Amino acid sequence: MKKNQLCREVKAHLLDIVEQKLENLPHKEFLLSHVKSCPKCNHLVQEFSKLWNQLEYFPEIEPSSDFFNGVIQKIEKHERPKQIPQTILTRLRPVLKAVPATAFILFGMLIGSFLGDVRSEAKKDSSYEFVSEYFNNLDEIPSGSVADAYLNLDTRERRD
Amino acid sequence: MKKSSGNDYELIQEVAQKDHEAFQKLVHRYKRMVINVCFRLTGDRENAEDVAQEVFFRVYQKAKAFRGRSRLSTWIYRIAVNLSLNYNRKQNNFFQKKYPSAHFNSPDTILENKEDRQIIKKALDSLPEKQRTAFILHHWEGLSYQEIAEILKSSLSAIESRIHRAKRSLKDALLFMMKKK
Repeated sequence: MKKNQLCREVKAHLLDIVEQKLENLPHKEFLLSHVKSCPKCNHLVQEFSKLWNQLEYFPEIEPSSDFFNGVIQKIEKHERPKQIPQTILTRLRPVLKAVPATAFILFGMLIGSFLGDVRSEAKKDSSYEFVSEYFNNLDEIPSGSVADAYLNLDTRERRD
Repeated sequence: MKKSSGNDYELIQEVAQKDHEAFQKLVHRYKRMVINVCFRLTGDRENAEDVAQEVFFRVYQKAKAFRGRSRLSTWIYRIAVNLSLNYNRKQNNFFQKKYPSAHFNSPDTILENKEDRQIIKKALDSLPEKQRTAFILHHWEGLSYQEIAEILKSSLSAIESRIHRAKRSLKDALLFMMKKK
């Protein structure tokens, strides 16, 4: 393998070289000996492994001593009923509570009164129409007919 | 005398019954794990504790919903990951301001070089959210691909691919930045 080609191979397998995961590479020995002999590749591997190793370590942090209290505070804050600030609206709340009930009753009365009027009007209209129609029909009964005789009989009976 | 919560399933069942003592035990058992995953995912030391407390608050609230299909740690990890990613989205500053200075600034840290810190910051920053999350869980939390798949509700092959791509992207980003250096 040519030198340039090996340099390219080193670059391609840089992570495997740093993490020492070259087992599956057939030319592993070539590559490692090249890294030792080639100053450019050697520098690259060293610089890269320095950075990569820094990435390996991440400092751990410790929870503070009142960590649990903080959690409990969050829970309590959530479970506590929300307090509404005392405003004019909250002071008027007892009075305002009665408003919907009153409005509902008034509305009910209005509806009741309206429905009552409709029914009486309807009753009035229908009885008037019936009576006028009845008398109109009486006028149309031909004289000498059975119906006419019956009506005359009725009036005669009343006279007697 | 109060019975002891032996395993995780018993413990979470007791927490579901609003048992204060059991909840305290659960928090004590998992607080280090949770705060560190939040820290790693948010890159924000100051707010990691707040996010971790929010995680336990959710655990307390949703304890009844835990069916025991996965391990309790996996379930808690899932909540921690989701809340941390939500935090990042809200802040919209992931790794942009706090990541390098906040977590690499302890005196014992290996990162002494400011320039190197910048390189690593930029390299991590360049990863897409899904790749970065999978990478962090595998690389820093030491979780298996299977566990990560359960936490992120993805297939095993998807996780393998994400971590592989994350490593390649990180390598390319680091090489690119080394050249510029």
